[in-house]
Amino acid sequence: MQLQTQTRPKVLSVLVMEDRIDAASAIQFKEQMRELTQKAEHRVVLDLGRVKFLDSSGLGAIVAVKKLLGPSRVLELSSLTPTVEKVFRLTRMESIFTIHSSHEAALSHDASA
Amino acid sequence: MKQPFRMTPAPDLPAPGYACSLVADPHSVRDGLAQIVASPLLAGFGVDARCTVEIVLAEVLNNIAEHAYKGETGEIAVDLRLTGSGVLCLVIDEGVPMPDGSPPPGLLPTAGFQLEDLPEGGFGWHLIRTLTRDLSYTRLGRQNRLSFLIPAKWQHSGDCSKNIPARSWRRNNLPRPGPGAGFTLGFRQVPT
Repeated sequence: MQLQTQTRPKVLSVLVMEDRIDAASAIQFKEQMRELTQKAEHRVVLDLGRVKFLDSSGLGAIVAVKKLLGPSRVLELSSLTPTVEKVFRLTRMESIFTIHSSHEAALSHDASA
Repeated sequence: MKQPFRMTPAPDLPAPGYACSLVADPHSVRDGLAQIVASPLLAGFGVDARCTVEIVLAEVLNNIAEHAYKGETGEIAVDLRLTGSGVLCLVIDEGVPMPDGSPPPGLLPTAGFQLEDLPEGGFGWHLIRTLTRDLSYTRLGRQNRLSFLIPAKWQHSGDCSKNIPARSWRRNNLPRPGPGAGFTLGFRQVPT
């Protein structure tokens, strides 16, 4: 699982370089996110723009990462592709995440905060 | 070592279909899904319908790997047929039966508003139930047989059956499921 990170003041961007987060990769995704976010300070923005497919295991892993970050840090999502958006919508998990239309929108959201 | 699949032979059915068998582990499921989604059978459907098929089958197949075979070696047979109202699916495995003899109701896990209450699982059957119709489960001998319809509209004009080899399910030499096996399908002409 390839994850590309970029650190900005107060925000850690993580770009998922894979086209799916599924039952075959969910555990690996969660473990890598655990390591990558250890030093994250406040916000983590997960860019899912390249992820074409997410199943319930992948969704569970993203929720698990949100929980790993604890109450003092937030996990936000950006650039959901149609299938990924559908899975979030049908499971009503869209309501527990801040979801940005693009990574740029996510970053400018921070600037205005 | 598990015995190979034995399915009741049946008369030839005219419905365009696709069948494959795969090993019940997450990586094989991933590969199998890629083949199914790329199959000529689904070529006439829009991206959205193909995504729905992929989501539903991913959940069904991974559930079988995880719960019916409990992570041990096993085989899954998948048979898809086109009907006038969508893609009719039959999925067969030889793992343990569903608990209580029926598939889970697929209620969404209750999402608390506290961070620690957020559910990390239990979404799979909700997705399956939401995206399918006419879901039916039977235990026949050692086999679990789950059938369901994924409603979808054929996008191309013309008769879809012309473009699809009616015997494409012979791929992988999979024995045919049929009426004797509890799965009877009639192909209805898709309105143009």
